[in-house]
Amino acid sequence: MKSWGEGGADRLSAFIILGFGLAYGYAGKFIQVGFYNGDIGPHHWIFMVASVLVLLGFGLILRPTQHQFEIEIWEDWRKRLPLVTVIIIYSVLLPYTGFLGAMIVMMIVVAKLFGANWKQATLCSVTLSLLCLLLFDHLLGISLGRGLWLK
Amino acid sequence: MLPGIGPVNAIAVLFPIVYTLEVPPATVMILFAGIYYGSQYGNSISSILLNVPGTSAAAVTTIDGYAMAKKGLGGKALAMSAIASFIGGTLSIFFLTFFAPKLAELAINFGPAEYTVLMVFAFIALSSFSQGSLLKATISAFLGLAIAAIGIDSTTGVSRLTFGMMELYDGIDFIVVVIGFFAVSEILIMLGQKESNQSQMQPLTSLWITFKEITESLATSLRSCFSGFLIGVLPGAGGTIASFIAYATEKKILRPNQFGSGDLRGVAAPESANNSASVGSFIPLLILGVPGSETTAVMLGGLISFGIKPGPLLLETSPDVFWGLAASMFIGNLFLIILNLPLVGLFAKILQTPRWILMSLITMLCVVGAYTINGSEFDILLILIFGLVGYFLRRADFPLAPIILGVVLGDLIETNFRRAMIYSSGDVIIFFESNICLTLWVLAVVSLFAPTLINSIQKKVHSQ
Repeated sequence: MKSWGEGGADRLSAFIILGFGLAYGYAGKFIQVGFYNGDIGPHHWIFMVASVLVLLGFGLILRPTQHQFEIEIWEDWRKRLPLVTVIIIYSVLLPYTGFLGAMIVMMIVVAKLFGANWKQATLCSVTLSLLCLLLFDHLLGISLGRGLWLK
Repeated sequence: MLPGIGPVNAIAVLFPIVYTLEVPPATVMILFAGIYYGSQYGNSISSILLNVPGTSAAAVTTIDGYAMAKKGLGGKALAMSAIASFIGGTLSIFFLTFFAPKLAELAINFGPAEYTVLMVFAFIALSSFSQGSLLKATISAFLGLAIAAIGIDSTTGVSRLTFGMMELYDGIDFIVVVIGFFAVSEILIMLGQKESNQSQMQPLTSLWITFKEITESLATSLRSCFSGFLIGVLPGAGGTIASFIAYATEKKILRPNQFGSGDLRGVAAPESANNSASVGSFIPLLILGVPGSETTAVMLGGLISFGIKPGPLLLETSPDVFWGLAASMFIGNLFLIILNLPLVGLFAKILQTPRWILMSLITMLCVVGAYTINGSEFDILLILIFGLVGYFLRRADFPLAPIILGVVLGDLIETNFRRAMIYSSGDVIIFFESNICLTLWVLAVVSLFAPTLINSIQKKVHSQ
């Protein structure tokens, strides 16, 4: 763990908020406004929100709280990155393999990341995925994604 | 009951299912309310037996509850917790049914300006009562408003910040935001934590509690119920503050006492207060359309999704939602005590479920929930993005409840603000003209300073 100096983390957050506020306000410029805007049109609200975010960002730069947070180095993300990746893979696989195939793959990885062994992870993922499919798709009639060959 | 998995996450993962099944709104509210106040009792199990509060509202229960469990009196503490929760929950429903219609009569005079100021008050109250910096809470609220503005503008029909993506034309569904910011960020946080040593769990002993012990704690339960309800009604306050104040008050009133080393009244006070506060928080939610906590903010979003507009007219337009909810709370509280006492052993066993099973199940429900809302893979990616943003915001001590409030109320506050500005031809004095507006501004200022007073009470409780 690497600790940031007092207020340093808040200043970093503040710069991100500031950047977001500016980008948000800039994007608001491209809103197609009709001939009648009233006293306050659809783009004015965006500018208001963006302006306040920029001001608050400045406020946090000038007056960071005493908070220090630890920036996690690579080891702590060794578990989080696979989780993020496997959820992306799930959303990509879903239209092709359908719910069952994509979910089993995802659940095995998730269970492994939370400390299960291979046998437990496989058993857990297959059982929960099947139960979920049975409950949602067959009993409740909610489609969970059937994949290419079941369409 | 399970640490880290609070009522917000439970509601977030269940909402898409009931939404897709087109369950009637009254039934959905009953389900969500059951989860909300049921969790207030459930949290006491992990607080008493594990010394780990499920949510911050149950933190005070650990002080005397766990001390009793270590002495082999965990069963007694759990029984008292159930009884005090029942007293607090049931009495506060009477208060709810009495006060809500009165408040609705007053709120019927609200116009666009009053609604705008009311929502500003809700933002200030929720932000100032959030733990940590007020500045960060305000940033969170505006991030929520920024998310809410994405999609077609409800007044003019113009698309805003959609970048040509069809998926964004309807806006971002609030439940996607909730699943991302709360559930997915929680999973990411839990991935970095070591599994708690569940062997430290105190054994569950006999639940037998004498009539004398109940009567001795009755006055404590009644007082805490009353104070808890009043605090629950205030937007932003809620169960955590209610339980701290009830505990501090009882510690002062009852002398001599054994508060801190295992006093039954030290369990009764916070449990009665937090159940009562959870019922009280339904008043601003249903009658003013202003949620007082992150859980009620999610419920408000749910009601709006079902086409129900909470507010003073709710009692006339959707009486089934209000009175059905009130009636269900009576039945729910009765069932809580009937089920909880004999089944507490089973619930305690659930606490020992391996984390990899629970977290796999929660991840699956998050992903399935996001997909079922619109049948779109895009929403799965959105929960992931919001989960990552939520994770970093939590690490940097930004509260998440104001974001949800911003997302849920964003459209309403914008519409009312713009309407009020049109009525006044752009003059902001409209927000200071009526007595209702002025009262709300005064309340907003008071709520800015109230947390300082409450913090000093909390520090006093901890130091003693």
